[in-house]
Amino acid sequence: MDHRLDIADSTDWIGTPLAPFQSLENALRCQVCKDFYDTPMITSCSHTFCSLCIRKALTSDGKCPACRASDQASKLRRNWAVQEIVDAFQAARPAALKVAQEHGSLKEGREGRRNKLKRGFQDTNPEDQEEELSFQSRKTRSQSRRAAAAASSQEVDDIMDGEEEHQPDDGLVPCPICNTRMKEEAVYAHLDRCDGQPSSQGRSTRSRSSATTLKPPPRQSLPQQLKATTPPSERIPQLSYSILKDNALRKKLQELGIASWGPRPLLIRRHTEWVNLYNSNCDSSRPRSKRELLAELETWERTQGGSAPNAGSAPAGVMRKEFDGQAWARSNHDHFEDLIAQARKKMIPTDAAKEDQTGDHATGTTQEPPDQDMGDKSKPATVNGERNTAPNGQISGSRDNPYEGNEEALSIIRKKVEAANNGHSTRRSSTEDEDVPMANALLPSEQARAEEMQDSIEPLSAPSRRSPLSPTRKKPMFSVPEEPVEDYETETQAH
Amino acid sequence: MHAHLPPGITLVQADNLDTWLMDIRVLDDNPIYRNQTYRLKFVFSGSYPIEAPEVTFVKTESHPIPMHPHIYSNGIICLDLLDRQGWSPVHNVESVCMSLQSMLTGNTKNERPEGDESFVRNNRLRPRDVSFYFHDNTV
Repeated sequence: MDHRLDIADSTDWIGTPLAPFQSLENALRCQVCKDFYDTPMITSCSHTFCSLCIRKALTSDGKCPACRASDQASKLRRNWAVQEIVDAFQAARPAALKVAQEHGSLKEGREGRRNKLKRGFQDTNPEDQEEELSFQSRKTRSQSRRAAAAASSQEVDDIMDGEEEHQPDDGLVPCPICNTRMKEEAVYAHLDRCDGQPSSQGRSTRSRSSATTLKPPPRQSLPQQLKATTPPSERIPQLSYSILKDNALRKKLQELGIASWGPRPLLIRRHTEWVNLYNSNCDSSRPRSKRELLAELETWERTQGGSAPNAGSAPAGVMRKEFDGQAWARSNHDHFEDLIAQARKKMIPTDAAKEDQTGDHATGTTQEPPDQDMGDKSKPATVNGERNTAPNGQISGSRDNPYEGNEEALSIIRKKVEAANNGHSTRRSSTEDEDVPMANALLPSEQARAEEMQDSIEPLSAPSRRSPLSPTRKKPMFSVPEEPVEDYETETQAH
Repeated sequence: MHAHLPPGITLVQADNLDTWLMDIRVLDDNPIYRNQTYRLKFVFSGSYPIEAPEVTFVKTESHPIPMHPHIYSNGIICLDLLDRQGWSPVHNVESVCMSLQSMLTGNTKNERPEGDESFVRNNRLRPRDVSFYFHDNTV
């Protein structure tokens, strides 16, 4: 079942005997977020909005959303009366709706029932739906506001009974982001690193409202509550970003305890978001901990801030916020085409060379100029390998390899090495101390090397065939090497 | 929501929170728009409703682009309500649809905006990046 369809809406009243409640409920909803008022604030032009909504709107364009009169966040005042009405209405709503729907169904009989099912998007009866709704509101609140939840635990228990079929009665609560069930105490720690996907749930205003505004009625009356929890701290002043240099701004963010990475525009947006979040929390009669606010800022970061999917990584900071990648791609299409064509041109010769190599390998013919440089570089490696019996694969990887990524060339080299090792190991049994005479193997003529190479390419190169090939091996066994033997290929051989 | 929309406005598709399709009809007997249904595409940004959605007419086989001096033939609408300055977060899909309905209803000129052809040919910006000059306050 899609829980987004279970959200309480003023249209729930339509078709019940209490249809006029639709307009009553609409009047108790913020015009910006369309949810019940959360910490309603009144503007200088006497319009009321959620604290966070009006703060966001004012930082965006400095005007009242309802009448477009200029206003400032500092002129906002709380509207406690509205808060009380909203709380009371939300408390009364489930019961009222239940009564209204029951009354309607009694009167209309089967017909009415069919209508309701249609409206409910689900096959449970309207009461179940209602109970689920109210449970959800309690539940979200119990996650976000533990202290308050404790006060009304009795209420939560009441609702639990109706909910058993949907939620396992395991004493755990789901994470509001990823829905993983865990102990209530663990939720906050989990929220800090939760990488659930809130984006599918919509934007942060939505998740905020669903997480915070569906609050149950306060158990105490508001004035009492105010005495108990006076707003915790001073509001954060807005900054004039234009007079702050990047570093000063970064420092401000650090002082506030929020992330200070990213380019300047992101810093400004993050600071604005934080100021709005923080200050609206100051307005609230039920303020949340800074930790919860930080978790919310984290959500913002994932959905709209620096970690947002469409923000990309580095380039996003350089671009304008509304940069239209598609339009850019379209207008620069010709240029891109040119670049692609150029790149293709360069690719073609390389491909041809590769094919040459494969051809050579397959037929075993003499190497042609394209392979010349390969021969030059791989030969010393092969020779060294023969001398020191390096393990397979060791040789090609042991030097700065020009063939990295060139699989054909690599496989040729590996074959050679393997062949060389095979030949060597048999010989080794007879001539124990080979390293010394083999030192001379470093100095065969270019021609000799080439021959050796070709020979070793052949898959059937047997030890017997190999031995006459290298004249160096006929050197006296105990002759002193002309150059110090450098055994940098294999540590095992060096003992 | 479907059942409670004002007359002439229908929700076509709202599978996600990014893009919605709506159909609108002009209710009175304006000869320019008689018996026609127009399809609107709403694209919401992450900051909706603080930022305006991107609203354009979509052309399909059964849905033409309405003739209006402020509607370009590629569906882009020049309406202050949808511009950064004219937008207000209190608007919603329903109110935007109603505004467009009334914008069509009140129109008597069966014409495209000035420079429609060159705009349609050259514009590669998205509607919200086009800077319209709201010179006409009569509509």
